[in-house]
Amino acid sequence: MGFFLSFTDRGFAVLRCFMVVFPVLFTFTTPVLADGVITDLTADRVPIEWNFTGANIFLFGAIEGEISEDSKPDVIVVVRGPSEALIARKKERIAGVWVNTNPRLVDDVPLYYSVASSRPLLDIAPASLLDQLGIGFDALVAQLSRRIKVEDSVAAERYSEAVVRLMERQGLYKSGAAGVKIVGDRLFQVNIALEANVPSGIFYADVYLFRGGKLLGRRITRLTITKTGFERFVYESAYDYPLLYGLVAVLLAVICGLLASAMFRKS
Amino acid sequence: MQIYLPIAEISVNLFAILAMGGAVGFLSGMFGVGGGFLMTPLLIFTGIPPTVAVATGANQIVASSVSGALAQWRRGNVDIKLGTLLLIGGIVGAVLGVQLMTWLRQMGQVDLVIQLAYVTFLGVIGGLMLVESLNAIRRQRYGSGSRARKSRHSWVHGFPLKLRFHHSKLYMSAIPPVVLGVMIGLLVAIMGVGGGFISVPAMIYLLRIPTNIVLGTSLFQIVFVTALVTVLHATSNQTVDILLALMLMIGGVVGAQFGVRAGQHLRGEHMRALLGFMVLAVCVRMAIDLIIKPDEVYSLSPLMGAG
Repeated sequence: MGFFLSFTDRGFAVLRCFMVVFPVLFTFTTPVLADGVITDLTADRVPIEWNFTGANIFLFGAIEGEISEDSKPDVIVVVRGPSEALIARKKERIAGVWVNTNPRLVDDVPLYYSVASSRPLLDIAPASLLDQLGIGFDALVAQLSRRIKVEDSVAAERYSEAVVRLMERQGLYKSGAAGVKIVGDRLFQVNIALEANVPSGIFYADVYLFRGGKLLGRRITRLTITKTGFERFVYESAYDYPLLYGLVAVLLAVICGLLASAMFRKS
Repeated sequence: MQIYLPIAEISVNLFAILAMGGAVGFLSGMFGVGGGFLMTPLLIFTGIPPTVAVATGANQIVASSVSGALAQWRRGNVDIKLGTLLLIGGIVGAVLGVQLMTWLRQMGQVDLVIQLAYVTFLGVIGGLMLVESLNAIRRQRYGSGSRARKSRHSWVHGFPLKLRFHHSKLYMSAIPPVVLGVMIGLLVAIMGVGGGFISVPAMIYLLRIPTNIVLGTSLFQIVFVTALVTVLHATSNQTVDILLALMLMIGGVVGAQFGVRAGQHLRGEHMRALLGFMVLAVCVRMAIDLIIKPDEVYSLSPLMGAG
């Protein structure tokens, strides 16, 4: 549903552009091209405004290089948001009540992570290569396990699995084996879904081109998500002038209360 | 219509928040309490981070109680001397409470403490109010003659530093109101409540202050303490969401005006029984959350505990 609603005019334009340019390109140039990908986003800046309810960004790309029938290329797109150290805790029952215990610091947790691929990940590349590149939830769990300060590796894995599960539940981590749609032989598109709770910051869309289990090309595209307008003004005031912000909040409340009181007294 | 909240960092439905503010405002106007004991849990159920819910709740109570306090003031129901003593305690409590909250967040125990505080206070207070008011209703209905008013003196009147409160027609120690004020300040900072559910019964049952003076004076104190807590949370935690507060205020002040009118048609003991029921309901809801095994035993929070 969101796909069709958010398919912007610009998105169409980009796709149309590719469709026109490519046949022309291949008619007049020699067909020997290095393996690689070229990509573009429907928007490289996403503003968070007062009516922000999330956004759908489309990433379009084209595969360069030779394409034969027996070994079709595969594309994986990983989008990583800004990272932050988080504390994971486990609840235990103490005296009949569930209490947070055993806090563990997890360093460098991406606040957004989505992976989309043209086929199931393990059909595209071996687990060892995916792990090395940090592609997929399994690789992410392994990465996070190494960033947890804990003596026991089993516990570390439990914690990092929990981190991924919790982030997925909040819609901040996403995975989809059919997320990358390959159109014809060379064109592909992927929908990057951003929920309303998406953190602001710099995101990187990492496009990997695979063939026969081997990495052939990679391209990184930047995406900036920022609060703008009124949202930005309020956010910055709260952090840069906290005392003034607090006083304004109180003043606003007093005015609001008195205004209502005066209004209702007359009527 | 969806609105993105800059501090809570989530998108909410404008009309749902306005309606929530209105409903809670109605009840707060009716009972002369801040309504925060309903507002804070409701905000958390909506998905607002608990710390933002608490701080923004305090901000909203400023608006809902300033109109109520003014209405009570006009009716001559505010005892300034008593209110000032409560306020002195309230300031101490608020500063301690915000400090404690920052520390608890770093320990990862803030949610637990909030819930335990709700269950304990609401359980005891709600239970007491319900029993007392049902007894009062029963006494009236069956007219059993023992309506002799209890002594105006309870154990709290044994403290030194006695002062005369002309407005409340009382002669009592300054210590209980100050101690009560500290407790309320703590509750405002930690639970995002006005503290009316503590101060009103405590003043009625322990300090034996006339009910109308209790409502006016507690509102008077709530205005100032919640204002202070708002500023303290804004400066130390940046958890006051002005946009969310504004929506709650608009709903709240309108609801409160109707609530005050509705409250005038209800008898005191019926009001207390109703309030007792509601307080107990929130208490039970919180207790269930604490006791039932959560479907996810792990939780995440930022390093500095902003969530």
